[in-house]
Amino acid sequence: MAASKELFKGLEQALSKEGEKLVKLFKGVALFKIDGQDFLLDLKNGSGKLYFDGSSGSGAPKADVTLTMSDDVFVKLASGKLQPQMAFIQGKLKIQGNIALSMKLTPVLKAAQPKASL
Amino acid sequence: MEGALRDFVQGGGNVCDAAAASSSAAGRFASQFLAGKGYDSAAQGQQPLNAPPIPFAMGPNQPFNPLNEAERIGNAPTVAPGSMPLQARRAMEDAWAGAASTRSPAGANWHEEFHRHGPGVGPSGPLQQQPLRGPATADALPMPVHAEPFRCLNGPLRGFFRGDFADAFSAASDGQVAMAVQGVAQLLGSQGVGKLRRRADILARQVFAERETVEPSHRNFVDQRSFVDRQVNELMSALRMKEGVMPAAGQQHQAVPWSQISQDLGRRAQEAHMRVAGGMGPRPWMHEQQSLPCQVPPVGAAEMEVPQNQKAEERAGGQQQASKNSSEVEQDLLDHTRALEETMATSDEPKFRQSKFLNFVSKMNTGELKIVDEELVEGQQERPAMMPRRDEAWASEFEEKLNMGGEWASDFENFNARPDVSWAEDFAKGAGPSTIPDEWASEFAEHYASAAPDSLKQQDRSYDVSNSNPFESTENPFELGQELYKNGLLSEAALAFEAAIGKDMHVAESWRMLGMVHAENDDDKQAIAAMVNAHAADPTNLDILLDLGVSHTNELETHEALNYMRQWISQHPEYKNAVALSSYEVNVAETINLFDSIGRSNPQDANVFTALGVLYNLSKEYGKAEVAFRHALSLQQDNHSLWNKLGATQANSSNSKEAVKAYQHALNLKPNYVRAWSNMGIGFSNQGLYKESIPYYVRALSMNANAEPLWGYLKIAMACTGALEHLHLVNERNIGALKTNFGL
Repeated sequence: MAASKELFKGLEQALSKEGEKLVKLFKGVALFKIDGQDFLLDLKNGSGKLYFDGSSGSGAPKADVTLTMSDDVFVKLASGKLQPQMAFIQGKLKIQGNIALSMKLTPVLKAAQPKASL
Repeated sequence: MEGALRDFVQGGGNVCDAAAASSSAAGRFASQFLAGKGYDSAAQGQQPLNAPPIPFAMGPNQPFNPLNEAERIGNAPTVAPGSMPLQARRAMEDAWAGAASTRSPAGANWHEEFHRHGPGVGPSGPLQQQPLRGPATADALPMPVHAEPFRCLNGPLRGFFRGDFADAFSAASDGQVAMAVQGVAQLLGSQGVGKLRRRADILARQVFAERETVEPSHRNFVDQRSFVDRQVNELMSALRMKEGVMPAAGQQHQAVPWSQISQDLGRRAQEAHMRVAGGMGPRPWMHEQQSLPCQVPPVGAAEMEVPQNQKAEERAGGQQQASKNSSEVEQDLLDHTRALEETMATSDEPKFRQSKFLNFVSKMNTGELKIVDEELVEGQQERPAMMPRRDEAWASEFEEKLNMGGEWASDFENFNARPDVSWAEDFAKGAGPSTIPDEWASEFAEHYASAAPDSLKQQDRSYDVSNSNPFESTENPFELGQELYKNGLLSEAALAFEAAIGKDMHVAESWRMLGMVHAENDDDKQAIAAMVNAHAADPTNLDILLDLGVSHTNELETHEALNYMRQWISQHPEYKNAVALSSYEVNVAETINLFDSIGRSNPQDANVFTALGVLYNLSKEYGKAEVAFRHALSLQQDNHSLWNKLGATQANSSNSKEAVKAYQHALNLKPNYVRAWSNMGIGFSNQGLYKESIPYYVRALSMNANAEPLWGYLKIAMACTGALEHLHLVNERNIGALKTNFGL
């Protein structure tokens, strides 16, 4: 879980720079349930927002899709080593709600990766 | 004019429409650009029925459009510019007549609009003089799939902007007109500027696209640009009515801008008259659309059926009617132009005060120029000597139009026969500044935030000077700083340069070096802050501008990056005159084109290709960026920063393996190049090789602990490799312990 939390912190950093772009890309709210902890990623409003306390936080929007997985699966997803589709087929990833939205996860996670500087 | 401008800015009409009419890629781009913007006019409170039955915001899957297709066929390279095989056109029109009856109102209105605006069938187009050509290619054309283009510019000035002023918006050398019109937008409140600019840009693209079909040889961007320049220059000289610039009767193509403008102004006058004399209550657009198809026969059909003399009568009648009301019209026009002139003349912007547009407007006010009937003429009292010449030109133009058919006549008839006065509603809608919709304001705010963020973002961009500087008492910190930089002690060099700045030594150069040191130290925020100061101290230094462009690119701040890259051109002694810089087309593609054309003629200038590579990174065309950087590297093989740029480009295009090699080159040249170290770590991380990335992050942080993002990356890498026992070292920022733990 520790890794996921750090990755989400990285994602939060990316939101501050490219939030609007990611919102345009994703247009939805995703709830990640990773080893019992909830991360709510709002890529529907404004320039995006991350709720580290999940859906219980005040003012948090309703999730369009809920993704349940383990920490190491999320690490693999985030680094692009594992595709969400594949994880889903293998049963490592459970999806509730708007499945189509989960297919857009890869580009979002990719955009959240650190960029090399010129 | 004011009302029209406001409509234009507010999107009283729909720019999507304009884009949809285009058959070219640029037009499609425009529509894509606007896709999802929805149908502005519906939001503007117009009748919902006004919306076309079929959505037209087209993506790449553009529905087949017979008109466009026929136009494309008609404009095959063998055909004279702007022409269309008559038979094809006839067949097309038949199809459209059918469309008008089955799909009215929108379809028919489309048709009418097309004839009013289409480049090949404009009043001065040489269409009618084209012989029959080839078999009817339009036989197979299906029914129209969508309708309603070109209602982009509502209100009286619709046409005025449609034609060559739209070109003027984007025309580089004649940015003054754009200045003028943009300034007019200030009349409407500052909110207008952003949106106007964007709409004008789209509009200009549209016109580019139209012209492209007119002159197939002008496909190249630069040529196209110069073509538009020519058009604008022509227009401007025509407006000033200089001797010898009047379009000759035989040169229809060149005559386009002038005659279009004059006709549009004439239409404007008529509309003004309608407002004064009409007296009818405003009616929604819907009625107009319904009434048009039944009263106005398709122009093409009319031209085939109506005998020439009859059309002449129509025109003559129209002139009489128009001149009857000319005094009212004149007064009305004068009111508008005076207000315009006042605003423009008192503007703070000198460019604006001296603009040709203002010149034109004040001439209208003094009576030097007048709009009589459909023509823009010079006032008699001012220059009587000019009149015979004018008459001649006018006569020939009259004849020309006579020969060309009844487009004008039916247009005019349509105007008079039309029972409604929808323009009045248009005008009323735009009459008060208070009617600016909220949506507009928010859009402006959004646009402003993205377009002119310097003032907003740079509040937290002041340079953070280190608290304790060991070099404060050094005799010559500038020299020391250079020495330290040479030896690769970047953080120390930064301190030395800060001390030098504190002592007012070589301020510009010290700031520049400081910026460069911070960039190499992987701290773009500080680099930008330092470079901004350097730029202030030496605004003409090209290296500073280029570095600023690079740093802003790294921070994903496109607008600023472009701004500095363009300044680089405008400050360059050789290149500033080589290309036309427009302040109204600040977009990546256009800037890339500028650098590309410079690069073609100066293949030995590594800086140009460096800039080009950076720009391609902005546009995410990493392949091209790589080519540019490789070319630059062929000129400067031992430039460590170029190797790093090449590596970063490859890494960002998911080719981290190659990137690592390039970084290695950079590090061989400059072992303490923090940026390359951290990029190396990022390269491994992005491949999921977190374990491999950790030593690089630690190495980079050991040289510059201030590289804030790296701490986060390191944390991620550690968490992802499960090295949780070291995580507390990161939180404590204990570099020493980290180094020993990771064998450095």
